[in-house]
Amino acid sequence: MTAGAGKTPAPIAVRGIVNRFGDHVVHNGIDLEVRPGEVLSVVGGSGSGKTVLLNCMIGLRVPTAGTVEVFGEPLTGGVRERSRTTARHSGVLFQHGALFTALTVAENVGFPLRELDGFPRDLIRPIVNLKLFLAGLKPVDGERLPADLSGGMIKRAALARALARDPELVFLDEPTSGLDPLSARRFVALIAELRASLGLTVVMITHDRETLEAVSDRVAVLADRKLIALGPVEAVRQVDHPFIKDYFRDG
Amino acid sequence: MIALEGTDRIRLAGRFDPEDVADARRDLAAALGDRESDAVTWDLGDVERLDTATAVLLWQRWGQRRPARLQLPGHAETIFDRLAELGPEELHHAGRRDRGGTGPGWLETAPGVLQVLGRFVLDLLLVARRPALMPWRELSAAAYRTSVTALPIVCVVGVLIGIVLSYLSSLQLRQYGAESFLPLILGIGVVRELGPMLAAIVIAGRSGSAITAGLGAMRLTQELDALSALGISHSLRLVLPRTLALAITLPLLVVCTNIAALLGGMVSGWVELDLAPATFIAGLANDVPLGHLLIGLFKAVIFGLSIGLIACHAGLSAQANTQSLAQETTRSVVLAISSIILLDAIFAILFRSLP
Repeated sequence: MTAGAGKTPAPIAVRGIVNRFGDHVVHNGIDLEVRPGEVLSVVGGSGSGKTVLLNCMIGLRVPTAGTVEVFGEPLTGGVRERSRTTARHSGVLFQHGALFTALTVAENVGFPLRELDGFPRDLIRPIVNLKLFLAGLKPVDGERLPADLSGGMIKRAALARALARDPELVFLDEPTSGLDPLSARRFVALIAELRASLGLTVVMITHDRETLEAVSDRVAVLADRKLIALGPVEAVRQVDHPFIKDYFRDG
Repeated sequence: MIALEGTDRIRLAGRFDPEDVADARRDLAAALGDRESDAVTWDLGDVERLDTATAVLLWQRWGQRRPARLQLPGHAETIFDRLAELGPEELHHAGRRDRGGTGPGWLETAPGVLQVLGRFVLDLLLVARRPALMPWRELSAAAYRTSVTALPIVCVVGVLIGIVLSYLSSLQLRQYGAESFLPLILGIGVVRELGPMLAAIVIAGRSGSAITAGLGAMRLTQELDALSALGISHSLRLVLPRTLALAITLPLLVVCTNIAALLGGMVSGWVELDLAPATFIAGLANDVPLGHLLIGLFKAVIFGLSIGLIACHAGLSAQANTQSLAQETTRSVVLAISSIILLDAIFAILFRSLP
């Protein structure tokens, strides 16, 4: 690899990842490089280790073998060091939102600003309001508690929190699961729009073909403990593999 | 980097990151001084990255609009467009949420607990007529959790209190040469008062809190809703077995606490007063009327019921957030222990004519 001057390093580079739980091998040598500014979707059947791979990228899991680099910076040490490194660059939207239930939506979104950046109070609320607006919520929704929100609003609030610190990279774990088709489509449009306006790099796990085809620049397919295909949707569709055939079969 | 160039040109360049927002705020104030934002040219042309915090700071300085003379790089256009779209009022919206303080107190809780008690009695009558409705497995699991696993702690507490009580009494009794009264004093004290109280307080802290936290977590995970959706009564399926289990097991635990405390007292009496264990046991059997033991066990049943009902009521009234769960757990333990002490005082008056 030529380390040309001015070349921006890959937001996430995964090299030779192996994950093993006891005798059960989930990943056996996965290489994946995410390009700046792209939306990369990770698909695979249940149990193919999508979330495990995502956790390795976020730093919530130390892989059995292999390395992860975030913007050229290798993740080392335990879970705490790793997640601290990625947290500087990225935001995470967890599958079920993972909002802090004891805090209001506004406090949830402002939490990273207060805890990690130590922003003054008078600056936090305008930023929170702007992020809520970007995520398609109204500032008055900030006073509500997560328990009072609908599924779609939880996802939006969680997205606002993921975006709070202006990350260059966002991880989305099943962003449209549990949403009705209309809300799912709106949420996908929102992601596409934010990507365009903020220049985000997005790594997304999804089951939903519609979501996948709507926003992905590239698709990574996990099966048989390997990365069996990587490329634009159209190219991946042509790959001859039972899982891909099944997944992209119409009707 | 924020710098004043000449007299009327403020130039921003380089990267602006969230870490440097305090510097940005200071530099901005220094560069602008007390001039109007329209009085200077804002040159942001060389900004590589503009974070939201700095953008918001600039926007506030500009009076929530773009200044007359402004040069923006393409990537920074969107954020100011969005700020303009949002509008000043929405941007600075800051509502407060009333969190309801520390949750309901004694008076608010009493009707709720009475309601749970009423349902409990009705469920008992229902189950008495149709025993098949009783969740027997749940009852047995609850009984196991509240008794067998609590045995070590109540026994340790019992032994220690027995030793302390016996030691302190014997110091006094020796002065009057009344050593032979030790079994009587210890027997009545432990069997009627201390045994039930100690066991009940330990169980309120241990099992009461567990019941509340368990039911509260079921609210968080929507398991309570799932039960309702299946048409299964919370009170029959959750409250009845837990409360009944406590009412059954607490008297049994009290028996163990009594034995442990009396054994502790016996050993202490043996060491301190040279009172032979056989004499102590014979003294217990002869001097302590059976009535005291029965009163103690009766109180234990009532304590068990009240711990169970309060814990279940608190658990079921938890809302679906972690703070409410914590509050309800605290309330459950505090109320259960206070009600035990209150009930004990009432029983002391009711049974004053008994042996």
